[in-house]
Amino acid sequence: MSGFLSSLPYLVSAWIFFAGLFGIVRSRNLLHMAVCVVIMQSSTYILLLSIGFRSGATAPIFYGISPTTLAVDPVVQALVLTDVVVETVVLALLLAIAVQIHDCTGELDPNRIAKIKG
Amino acid sequence: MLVTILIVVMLLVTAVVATLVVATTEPFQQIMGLSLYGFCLTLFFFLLRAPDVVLAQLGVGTVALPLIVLLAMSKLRRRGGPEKEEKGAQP
Amino acid sequence: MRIRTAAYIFFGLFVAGAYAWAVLFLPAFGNYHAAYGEMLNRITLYERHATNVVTTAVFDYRGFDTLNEEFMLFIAVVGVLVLFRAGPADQRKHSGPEQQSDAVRTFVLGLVSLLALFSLYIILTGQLTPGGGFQGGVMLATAFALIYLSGSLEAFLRVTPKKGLEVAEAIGVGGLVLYGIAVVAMGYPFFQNVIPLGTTGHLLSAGSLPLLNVFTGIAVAMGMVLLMHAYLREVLEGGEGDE
Repeated sequence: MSGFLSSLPYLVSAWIFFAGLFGIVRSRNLLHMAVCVVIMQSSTYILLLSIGFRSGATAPIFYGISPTTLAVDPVVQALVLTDVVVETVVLALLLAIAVQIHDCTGELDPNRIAKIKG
Repeated sequence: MLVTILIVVMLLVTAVVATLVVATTEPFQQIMGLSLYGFCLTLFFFLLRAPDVVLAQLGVGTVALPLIVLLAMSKLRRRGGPEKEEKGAQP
Repeated sequence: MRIRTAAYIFFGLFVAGAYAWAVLFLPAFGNYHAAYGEMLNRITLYERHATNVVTTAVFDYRGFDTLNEEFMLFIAVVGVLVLFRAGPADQRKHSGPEQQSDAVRTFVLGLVSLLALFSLYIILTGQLTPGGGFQGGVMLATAFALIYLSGSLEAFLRVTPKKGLEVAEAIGVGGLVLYGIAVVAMGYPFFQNVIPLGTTGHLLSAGSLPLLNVFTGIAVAMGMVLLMHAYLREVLEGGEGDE
């Protein structure tokens, strides 16, 4: 593969990271901000899995195939796997905090919350 | 070679969908976009030969994440949102 | 607002530069050669009698990491429960989702049983084929969500009593910790695979993997159902009260 294609996944990962961060910075709504956090976090999945990929290799599951088959890296997959699931629960915690902020201040806009606090 | 082309296409689609989800400010549309984004990621992980991550992402990205955001949204509505939210809901 | 955007551009450029510099040292896409992953791919089948290297890495070779992730999940669930306990009750009574027609409800309930069965299969065969506690747990939680979406909030609340959920969640997370401690008490390293390995390809092979998969499946599924429960709790005007 050419030089550009071989670094495309890393570029896309960076693009998604900065898009999510931009969304967080410019967000006017805490729900929107939480979704942007999820998007930003997912860039790490793309980065990790892209690093571990080997062209022409099979999945790291040796059920019914020769144990010497070339397989992609299992360690990055293990890292991503646990994080994908835990991410949901962390999002729920973020949203619970947003609901709580809304209860206390009646606002969901981070800028106006800052004004209320003085 | 086909796999390489599919990976490149899927990467570009994922980047575009992520940008659109961030740019959307209407909450309900954003949740639907988030679900679509989760599905794009699922296809991408499938192409990268990560079946375990695909199974997790399929449940989390397309169902669990949007459902949690939806539940939070309805909870905000029920607790009496700001005026502009009230207008949208029926009396 | 303008200050924040300016700060974003300034620090963003800094981070982007550092990232670009780091990418220069990464292997080109598709040319990864790491000793650790390669070693796991080669030895898992012989050392642990498991065919799914990812699950083995999650629950055996890197079991301690997984315990930390599990604690993160547990703490986040507890955080949500605590936050919603302190809040005031909902101002408006929630009517639940629209009552669906009988055909839809019958169909969805059939789907629920299928989904629950399939998620158990995914949890139990985690060491052989793609799957395991995390994936199966998420699917099991989706099955519970389907009950709610089929239009009967009462049925969802009846199937998932809060006390039972809390006990199950405690069993799931506590089981993992207890296994680790029991192994230490027997004189092995934390999370060592001490259960007999069995025959490769059998349901109860690979030693501790099926046990830990089941504990993780319970913890993940019950954690997510507890979350849904917390978001829906004050829905039924007063609900079960605050005790």
